[in-house]
Amino acid sequence: MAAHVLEAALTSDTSGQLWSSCLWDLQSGTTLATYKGDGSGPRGLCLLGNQYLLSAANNKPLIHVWALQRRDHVQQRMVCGGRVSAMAVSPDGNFVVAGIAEKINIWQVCTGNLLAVLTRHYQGVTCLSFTDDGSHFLSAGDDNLVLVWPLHSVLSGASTAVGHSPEPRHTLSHHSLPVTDLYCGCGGLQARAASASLDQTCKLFEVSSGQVLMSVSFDVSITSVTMDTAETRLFAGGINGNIHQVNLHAQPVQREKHIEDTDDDQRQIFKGHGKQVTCLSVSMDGSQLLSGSHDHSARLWDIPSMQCVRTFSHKGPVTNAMLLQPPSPMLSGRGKPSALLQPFKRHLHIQGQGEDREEGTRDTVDVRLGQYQKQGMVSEGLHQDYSDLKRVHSYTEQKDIQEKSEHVSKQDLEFEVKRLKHINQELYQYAAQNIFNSKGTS
Amino acid sequence: MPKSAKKRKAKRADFNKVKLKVGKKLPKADNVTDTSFKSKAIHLPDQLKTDASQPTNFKQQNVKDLLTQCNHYSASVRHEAVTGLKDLLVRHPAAIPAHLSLVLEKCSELFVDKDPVVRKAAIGLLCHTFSQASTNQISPFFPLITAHLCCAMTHIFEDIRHDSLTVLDACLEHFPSLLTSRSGQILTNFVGQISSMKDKGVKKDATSSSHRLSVNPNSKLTSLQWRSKVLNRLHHFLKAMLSESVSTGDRQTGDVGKKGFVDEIFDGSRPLYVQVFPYSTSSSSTGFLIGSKTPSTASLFSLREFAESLLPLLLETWVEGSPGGEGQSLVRADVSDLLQGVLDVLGLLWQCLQHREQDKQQDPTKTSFLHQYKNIHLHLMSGFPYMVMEQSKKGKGPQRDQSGGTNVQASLIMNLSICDVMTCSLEQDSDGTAAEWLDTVFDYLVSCLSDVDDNSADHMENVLRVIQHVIKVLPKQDLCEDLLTAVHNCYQSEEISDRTRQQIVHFLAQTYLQRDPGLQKSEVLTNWVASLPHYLVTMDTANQQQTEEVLHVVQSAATRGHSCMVENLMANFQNIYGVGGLLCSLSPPLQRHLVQLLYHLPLLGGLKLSTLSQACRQREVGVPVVEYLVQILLARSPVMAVCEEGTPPVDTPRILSFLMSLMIGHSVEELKDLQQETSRPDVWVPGCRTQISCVSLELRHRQKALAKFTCECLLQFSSPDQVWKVVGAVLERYLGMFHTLPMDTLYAVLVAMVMLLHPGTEIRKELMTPIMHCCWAALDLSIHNRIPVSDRETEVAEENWQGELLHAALQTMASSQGVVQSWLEHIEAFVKEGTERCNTEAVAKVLLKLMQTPELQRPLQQTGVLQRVVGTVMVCLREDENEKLLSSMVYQASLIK
Repeated sequence: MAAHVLEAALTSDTSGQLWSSCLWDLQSGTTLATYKGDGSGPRGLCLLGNQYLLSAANNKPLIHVWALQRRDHVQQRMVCGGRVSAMAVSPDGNFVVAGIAEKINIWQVCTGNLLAVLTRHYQGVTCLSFTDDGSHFLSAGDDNLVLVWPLHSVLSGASTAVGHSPEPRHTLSHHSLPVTDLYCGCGGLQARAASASLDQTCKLFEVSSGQVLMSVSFDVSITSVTMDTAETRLFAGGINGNIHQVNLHAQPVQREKHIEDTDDDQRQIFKGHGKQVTCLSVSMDGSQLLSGSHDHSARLWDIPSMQCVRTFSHKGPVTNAMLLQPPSPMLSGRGKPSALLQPFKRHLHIQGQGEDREEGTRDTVDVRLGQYQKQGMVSEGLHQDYSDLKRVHSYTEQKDIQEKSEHVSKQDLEFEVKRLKHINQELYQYAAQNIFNSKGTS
Repeated sequence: MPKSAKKRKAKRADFNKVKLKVGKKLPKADNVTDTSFKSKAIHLPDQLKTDASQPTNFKQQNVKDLLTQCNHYSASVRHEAVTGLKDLLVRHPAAIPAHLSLVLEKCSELFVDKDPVVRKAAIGLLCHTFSQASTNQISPFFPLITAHLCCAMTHIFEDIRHDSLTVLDACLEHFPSLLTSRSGQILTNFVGQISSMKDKGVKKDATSSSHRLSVNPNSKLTSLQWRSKVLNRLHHFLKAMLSESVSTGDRQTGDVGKKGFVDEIFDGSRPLYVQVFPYSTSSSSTGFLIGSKTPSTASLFSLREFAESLLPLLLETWVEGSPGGEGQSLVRADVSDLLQGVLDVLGLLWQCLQHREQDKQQDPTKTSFLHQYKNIHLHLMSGFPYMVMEQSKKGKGPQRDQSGGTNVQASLIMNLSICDVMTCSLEQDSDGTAAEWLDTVFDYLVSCLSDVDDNSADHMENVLRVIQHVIKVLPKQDLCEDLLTAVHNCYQSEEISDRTRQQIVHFLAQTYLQRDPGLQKSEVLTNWVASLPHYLVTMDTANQQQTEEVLHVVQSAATRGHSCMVENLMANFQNIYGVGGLLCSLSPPLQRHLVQLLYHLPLLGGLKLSTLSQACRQREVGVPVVEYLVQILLARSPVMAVCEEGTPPVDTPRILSFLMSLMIGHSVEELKDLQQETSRPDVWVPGCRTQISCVSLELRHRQKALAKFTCECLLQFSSPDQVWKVVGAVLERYLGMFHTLPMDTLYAVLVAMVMLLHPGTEIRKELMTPIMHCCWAALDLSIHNRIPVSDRETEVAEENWQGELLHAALQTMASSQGVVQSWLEHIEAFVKEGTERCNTEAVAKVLLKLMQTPELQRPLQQTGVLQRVVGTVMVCLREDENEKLLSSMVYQASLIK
């Protein structure tokens, strides 16, 4: 059914009376799929590698997991150390990052190992967001801070030295009250991100340099923020239910903008929600805006005309609302996840521990879900661009690492390359002889 | 033919011997020239020829003439030309850009002119040109200027070398950035000014440098004075260089887009090199030291090499100037400047190196340099530990008697710079060599802090700067703690001046705000931060910057969960947020800061909220700030929370009562006072139980905004029915108690009715009557314009406000059938009682207005008593001559029928 659906809205509320989360058709307003279970907490609903749906429970230290094609009941419950206040999954589906009180936990999906616990926030974490290349993630909390973390150095730092706490790439302390929402644009490291705060401002900043590009102040505390893909407009949902639209390309260019709630013609406000707007999402083409609010409804707006097109009513305050391209298992209800999900561990994984067997005899193999994700989803040209971009970034990262460890001589590196090539060769030999031959005989 | 005798005679006459006789005057010859006349020179100050097409100076000379004259062999002509050129440029500033290249070229050639007057004039011209031109304009010619400057600096004549410093000063003053970009050239020349190269043939050992101090016995200046001069310039130069590199570093991090350049062309096969992260800054600062002439490969090392050659020189200078012998601490006044210069340059040099190499922690070149530095250090230490300590006490003793107290200050400055220089190497001190002198330095710093007096504010800054540096680099936690304790003691002492205290506060704030993990555990700092709320209350609020800084510290402490500070904040709550407290005396941006602190308070009880609501009524607190405050309180209440965890700091009943009191806008006491002086209310509506007292227009507008805002907030609560019940009960109680209402409260009540009453909900009987009276009073007030106005402007504003009041009243009536009904019955009884005619007419006008309102026509019709009431009113007005009123009433009544 409905194979033509390109974009759909995925929403969830706190009550979970009808369902935990629901996929809506944008054109007709009908439900395409529902996932039954408990209500989900704010910013706690994520898709994992187009195969699973993760949802942080509202008041319990749990993460519910559904395989996308089986919608009836919760398949798996992950127990965490505390209530999950924010959760994000890396774009390649390898890592899950969750904020529990003031700590940030990073799990590896394929093993379930807790790879790192970051304790740089002074108060609870409110939102987490990955850059679209998965190299960095942003975290924000009640302590007014926004931190930019490089994923690779966080992970490598945590595994090598015990007691050494990884440092964020940037610490932004430009807000004066708790940060309520984060949006990270596209472009990997070069992305621009927006943060919203109760101090009535939104800040637009660069992920790479951590510099604030623009500050927009409103008359009302801001609880959610997003931008369209082209980053021409910024949308900020307030505590009173109004959604402000800010034209980022407006002349004259100002670093500080003040948007007043006056009654003149120029104001650009989506009016309709009665209570605070908790989440915002813009469609791919930038023509539609989805908003979820505490007034038990999610609304779909037409951006050019600023009208409410559709209202999705809920049984409780809406905690998550996003526009996404639904993966095929979600729509068809068929298929099976190609990767198993390990339960998330509660204790920090230290390399070498828990593997009493000798090295090389592990019974798990690291699987990258990202390879599956690419198939069929992205067109060839896009794919090409993406891989180019990826190459560029991985090169940059390598450079980053290299410059850190400059004492490693060239000979060492060449030797390392030789060694790795040798290992590859052996692997291939082994596979060719043992696996394929045995298959042929059986 | 024989010649005639006559001819022969005549011929001979010419050759006759003239006999001169003694005593007779010599007759004058025929061909004598008369030299008795007198001559005078003609002086032409101006040329008669005027050329309007070109800018000229007062001698009507144009640029071309003057420039050629600059090369004249006569010194006075050259001087004239240069001064003329300057005059021309002063007269025609617009001519500068056009002739910049020529002027600068000629001018810089004259740096090495033999005549001192010409040089001086040339420098004056240069200064003038610099002051008129921008950096971009000068930059293409700057290599030329520096080339000539270098010539001058290395010139064989001493006075030319002297004057070159003046040129350098001018450059430093106007274009430090251009100058520092050529620092490689100039720094070397600096060294050359006070030293001479050692012979190449002399065998160098590892420690000695390639230069030695030069002494010129023939010079007018003593070599000490000369060195002091050069060092002074060097100090300025290094300072400019440092600030320049810091600012470029900052700027570069900013525009990564520009600086994140592409090194290779991306052709798909090779990886693209994109500069993203901190490396962009390091690559950009390579231009820091290399001059255009210096080979670029040496960029990283040239500063180090320069420092290596300079350090021994500085040290020699020091040794020469300082008192001889171990343990001597007496410094002569004439060399103190020089020594101070040496120290300044040492400090700056270190900073430059530090800045340059901060990215490369494990740079081998740096460590080797440090080794060198440490050697010098040992040298310094052997001579000076005594001196550092006792100079201010013993050493300056005799001199103080001669020349007043200034020497105490000078020695203090010197000692502090010694401390500064000494502590520089602390960072790299691994083998504990520092320990022996560290204590002495510490003792000195602590003693500086302990004996403060009123005029020590100037030094306090330096002391604190040194301490800050020590704290930054010192590995040992307990020693830092000691220093901080000393600072804190100083802060607590009674004697220090306000300015010193502010400096200390600034220092402590900076220390706290640095995210140094070690320091955050510091007990002294923690205690200090905990005491800040009290300081906030007592401090001088006129100093905006300081207040902001303190608030910033308090806020960051609150976000970091500093419980002691929060407790102290709670204890000082009344003083900060109360009426007449800190909140009311600050400017709006700071008020917002203060309001933000509320978010972090753990529990806000009823008393605290009532304090807040009183503060919100103060006129000093603007509407935006109040709205902000309410939003923060709401964010801390269960209203906004998604999931319940623990007890919220503000519970629902309290926030409701807070909002209601904000809406009413007056405290119960104020309203009670109003009731008592009711002998004559400001506006008296006949027949109506609710009376109105006047309130200034400004206050009404403020309250209008707040009433609407609070209603919007009340709508945010989860169940509107229950909210309405609470609001209804409160209104009932208030309206039952008070019959005289201020205008703003009246408006607020009506707005609350309009916005909060759910359509279809019926009003309780007890509330109905007072609401009805309120509506009547409002209608009467706005229809009859009962408020006296003075001028045109207020009249318009007044009309606007009344229009809104009327609108609110009409909407309230329209929302409830019961109100209309009871009002009609009430006025019928009122009219029947037989009041005065004018009163009846007033009622009739109100009734007419009601009937003319479209939304009200249906409720009026449904009451069923309308026709009867209209009849009654008409009967009472029968004899009136106001025909128009009567006829329109009849018409409207017929429409509704």
